Amino acid sequence: MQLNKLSIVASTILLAHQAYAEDFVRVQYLQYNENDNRVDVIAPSLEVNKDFGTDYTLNVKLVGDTVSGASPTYIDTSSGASAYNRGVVSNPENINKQNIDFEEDRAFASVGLTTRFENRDELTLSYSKSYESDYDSNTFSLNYLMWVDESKNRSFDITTTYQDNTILIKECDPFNYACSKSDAISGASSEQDSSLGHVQLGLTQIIDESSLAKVSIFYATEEGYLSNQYYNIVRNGNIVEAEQKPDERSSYGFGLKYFKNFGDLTTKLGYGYYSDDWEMDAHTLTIDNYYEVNTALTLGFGLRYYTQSEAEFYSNNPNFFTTQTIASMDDKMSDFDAMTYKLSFAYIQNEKLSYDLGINYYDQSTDLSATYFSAGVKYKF
Amino acid sequence: MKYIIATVMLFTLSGCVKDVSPWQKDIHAKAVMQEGDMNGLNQRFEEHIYFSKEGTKGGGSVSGGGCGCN
Repeated sequence: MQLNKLSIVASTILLAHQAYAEDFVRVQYLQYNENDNRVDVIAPSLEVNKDFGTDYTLNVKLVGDTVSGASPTYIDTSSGASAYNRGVVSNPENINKQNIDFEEDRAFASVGLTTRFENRDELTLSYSKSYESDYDSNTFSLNYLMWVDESKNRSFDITTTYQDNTILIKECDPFNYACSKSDAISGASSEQDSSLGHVQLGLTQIIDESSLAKVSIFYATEEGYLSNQYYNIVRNGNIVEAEQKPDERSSYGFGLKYFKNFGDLTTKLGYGYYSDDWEMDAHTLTIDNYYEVNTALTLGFGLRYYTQSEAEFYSNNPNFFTTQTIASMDDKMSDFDAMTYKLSFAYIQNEKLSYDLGINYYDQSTDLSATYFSAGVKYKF
Repeated sequence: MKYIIATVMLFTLSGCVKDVSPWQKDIHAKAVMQEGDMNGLNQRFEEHIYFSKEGTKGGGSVSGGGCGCN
């Protein structure tokens, strides 16, 4: 369901890094539960990594999500809990923020091929697809990793990504701006498109035998239908209609990371900055620590702090919007902070078999909090 | 690009960067020194959550190479 449309595909855009050369199969179970009986996600996944000689690595990932629960938006509650209860409401007291039930299955697959040249530079081509009944996404990505010095202590890399999305509005209505007049009257479905272009440049520098630093910058541009068809706004205090975000967005930012090993303890520090032309800025601070208890067991504990400013077209006041065309009451566009508390365990049973377990708690300064859990097995062959 | 150039210059001019030989990279080859956590699928799942629940994307990630072991 498009309520959570920013799919796993999106995350693959930004996680390009050096392909690890080893043959393995990994099976993972992932579970995500929000407070207040909102969104629940169960996502089993499979990853296969296979080397062909020393110059080629093939990586395949498959994920199947089952998403269910409820997501809050403003509706005319006198007509029942549906995001489609839009229109002029005779009694404004019936306009309330209420959870809209949904259930959706999602399938994701990606394949990436890394080629290493004689000088060990790497070229990775990847394709991924995410499919839901109302959302279809295709992503193409190219990453080139270039070693600068003979000792391979410094590398540059560039990643370019193009993503094409098709969004299906299942039931048109006159209060959804994305629907044509005829579709709005008949209640027919309507197809919308969006696309994303993303370029990222990075530098990795080994500082000494036990530390390294990374820096990257990115620029991204999106265009098309960037609204969420299930989110509504309230206009003049008595009209419920579909939100309308701008149909273009440009963003840029940079990231810094520093990894340091202190014997049994490894610390990773990170900072990320983001800015876009929706007037949103964000800062992300991370610290992750891994303590190697012995050669088999590693404990991980980390924190992530995130803060963002409000989009220029956002308000949570039902009496705020009057004549504005671009308007959203999506809480994701609001000003908030968030903390993530992370705990993980990794256990190596033998040369071939290892296990991992992760427990995380996510807490936003809005009323959202969530717990997510993962358990996995990795087999090297 | 200016951030990258500035960082290269900072590393180089400050003299804090050692020329680490390949046989001195046993620590860099450890799983805990790789990008992300020790499980790439976990990291994707976590990024997915942030993408779904937060209004921005991209600021927190860093790409790039690692130990040069491949």
